[in-house]
Amino acid sequence: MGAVRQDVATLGAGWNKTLLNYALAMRALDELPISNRNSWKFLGAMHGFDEELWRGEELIGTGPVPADLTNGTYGDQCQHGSWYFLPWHRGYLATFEAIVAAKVKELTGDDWALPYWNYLDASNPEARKVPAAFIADKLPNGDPNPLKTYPRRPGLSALQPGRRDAFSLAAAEETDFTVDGGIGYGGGITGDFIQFGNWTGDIENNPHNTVHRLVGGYMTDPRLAGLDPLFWLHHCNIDRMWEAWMRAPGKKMTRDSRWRDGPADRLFLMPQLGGADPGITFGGSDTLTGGRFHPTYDDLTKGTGVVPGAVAVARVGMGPSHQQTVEPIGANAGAVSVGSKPESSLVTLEPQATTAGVAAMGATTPGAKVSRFYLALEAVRGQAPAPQIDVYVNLPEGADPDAHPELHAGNLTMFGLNVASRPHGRHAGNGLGYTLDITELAQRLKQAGDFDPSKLRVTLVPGEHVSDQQPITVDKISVLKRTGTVS
Amino acid sequence: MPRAATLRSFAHPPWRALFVAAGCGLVLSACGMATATVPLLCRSSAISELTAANAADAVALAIALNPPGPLMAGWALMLLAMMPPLLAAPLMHVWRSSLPQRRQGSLALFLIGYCAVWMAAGPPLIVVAVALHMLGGGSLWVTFSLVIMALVWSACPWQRAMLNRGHRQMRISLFGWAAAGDCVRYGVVHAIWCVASCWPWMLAAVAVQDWHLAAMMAVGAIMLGERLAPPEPPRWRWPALLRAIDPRSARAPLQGLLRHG
Repeated sequence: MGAVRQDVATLGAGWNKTLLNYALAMRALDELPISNRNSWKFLGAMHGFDEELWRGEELIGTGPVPADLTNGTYGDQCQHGSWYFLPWHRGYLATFEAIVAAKVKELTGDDWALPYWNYLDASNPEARKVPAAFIADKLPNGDPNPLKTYPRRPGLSALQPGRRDAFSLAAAEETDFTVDGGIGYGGGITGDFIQFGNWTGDIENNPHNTVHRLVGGYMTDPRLAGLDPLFWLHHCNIDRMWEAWMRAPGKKMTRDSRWRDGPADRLFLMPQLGGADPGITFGGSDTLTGGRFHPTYDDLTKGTGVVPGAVAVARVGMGPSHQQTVEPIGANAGAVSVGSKPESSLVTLEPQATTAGVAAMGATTPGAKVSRFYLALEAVRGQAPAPQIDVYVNLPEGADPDAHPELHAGNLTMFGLNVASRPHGRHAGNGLGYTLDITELAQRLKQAGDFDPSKLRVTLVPGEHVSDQQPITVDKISVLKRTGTVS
Repeated sequence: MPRAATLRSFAHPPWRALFVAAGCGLVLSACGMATATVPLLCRSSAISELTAANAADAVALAIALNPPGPLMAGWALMLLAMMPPLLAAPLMHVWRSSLPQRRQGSLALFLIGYCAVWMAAGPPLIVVAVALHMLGGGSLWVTFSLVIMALVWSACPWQRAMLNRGHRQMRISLFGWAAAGDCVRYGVVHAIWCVASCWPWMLAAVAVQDWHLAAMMAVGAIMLGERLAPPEPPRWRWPALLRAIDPRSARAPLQGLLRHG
């Protein structure tokens, strides 16, 4: 774990040594049977596994599935929609890196570290391009390219986000890892092993989820995503963003024992190098500085949205996370279903609480009460693995959404919605939850005289993977008020 | 780590308040109200003599000799002693989904719905427990058999399906009568799945004649363990109690042996 992880764009064009070694190791690991805990497919199935789907995709034969993947130990562990998203994936990356590095050593004698795909590096005009080695048909020696084995969006050569896609470094502006009530950089609080929890953190929605959808193919489905070798470079970059965020002054990482210990009802478990028992169990504290899974990166500045060591807080601090409050101040009247057409819903607001919140929105005086507003989409359910919607506030009826970017509240890619919606899945079919910060939008509306403290009109515009055949339902749209003290 | 982490998580809200509530229920059960608890139904010598001749008459006599008021009060205390820790997740959902000024009322409405269902479930469970004891002549084998039945129930896929359903959260409206109605409805629906998943264990707790308080605590802990286990696809599995005693049983191939069971 001592190797330094580098930007893949700095390692040389085409088949540089790091990516060639990655391909050779992947080919060797993918030839191992899935019963081998260090095999490529076993590692992929640790993220998500569905026997029927994997047999349908001919990823496994007709033989028995290893018990490790179905008995609540190694298989199907990925954590999304909660504050375990970042630490679990950090442990997962470190385990994968150690196994691949050992295979590279065995095959070539070289040292190896997992590179990251720095797709939001503004200083690199080609940052969004998929590294050429992942889309080449052949290895330098003419053999088929293992890095291209698993399907992606047809013709993919670069990430091509739409105008409204959540593909930015906006998550870095958040100051708190988590605030009770579903708001924060890292995701909502839980003490349980929940693969898809109630509240998605800012970094998970943007850019993590968006990149999964933009790459397409297996990357859109958490049950298959871990098989794509690009997955690991993507998550390595997300992990680097987290490391940069933690090191920036003004950012408040959680110290909650439930996070540090890991879930109470099931262990996070990774295989040893070689796969022998016992596996490696860990909690959040193992992923922080000094922990066994803590990584080292060559750079924490480019494409992270923060500058370590510099005050990079773009908004006022709101005091200690545990002293902030989050309360609902508005909600719509019933569930909303979105198919191929936009759907609007009226959100009734509690005028007194809203007016008080509006008055405190722009507070900057230390010690003064300060508020932020969030639009919450609760218990979102659907059958597609990564559907996308845009959310607008006070969009006039019948208006073209594209003509009103000033009313755009946010864009959501609901990675894993299919898994979170299964009635007998790990999440009991409770679906996913999202919060969108609409403070600046509310301020704009207020300045334009278009903010009514008694109601908001919310419009959900379907995007990719949402249709009448695969609609999404939102149980409740509410407005949350987060209150703290200017610090 | 999970057991220690579980215990540490109990230090966070709302667990402490819920364990305090359960403790109050236990203390009250141990005091005067305990005389109305269910096991004493079968202790009358007249009932015992009548049981041998006509079990149906004996059940009727037992009910007649035990007025429903104290009996249901005893049942309510039993619920108070055993159920609060099971309600952590739904209570937090109701709390967070309600306007701050309505939160206490929302919790009360949820609990009204929840308790109404459990109070309705009490009489049938009591009658069955009494009948089984009379048919079994008060033998310990009756209790033993009920525990075995509860363990089998905890292993079966139907119980898992009902536990999964109980984890489902419902929409809670924010304003007016809709908010009140949603809280009551959520309490009722949650209780229905709670009864459906727990009834064999509650029946076993009701049927225990001696060490009744200890049985209540043990059954309460078992039900809490089952409730804290993460949802999973329904299939045959080792009961939570056995998994807690020996975690290796979680990996044993029960599901393979009983896959088609």
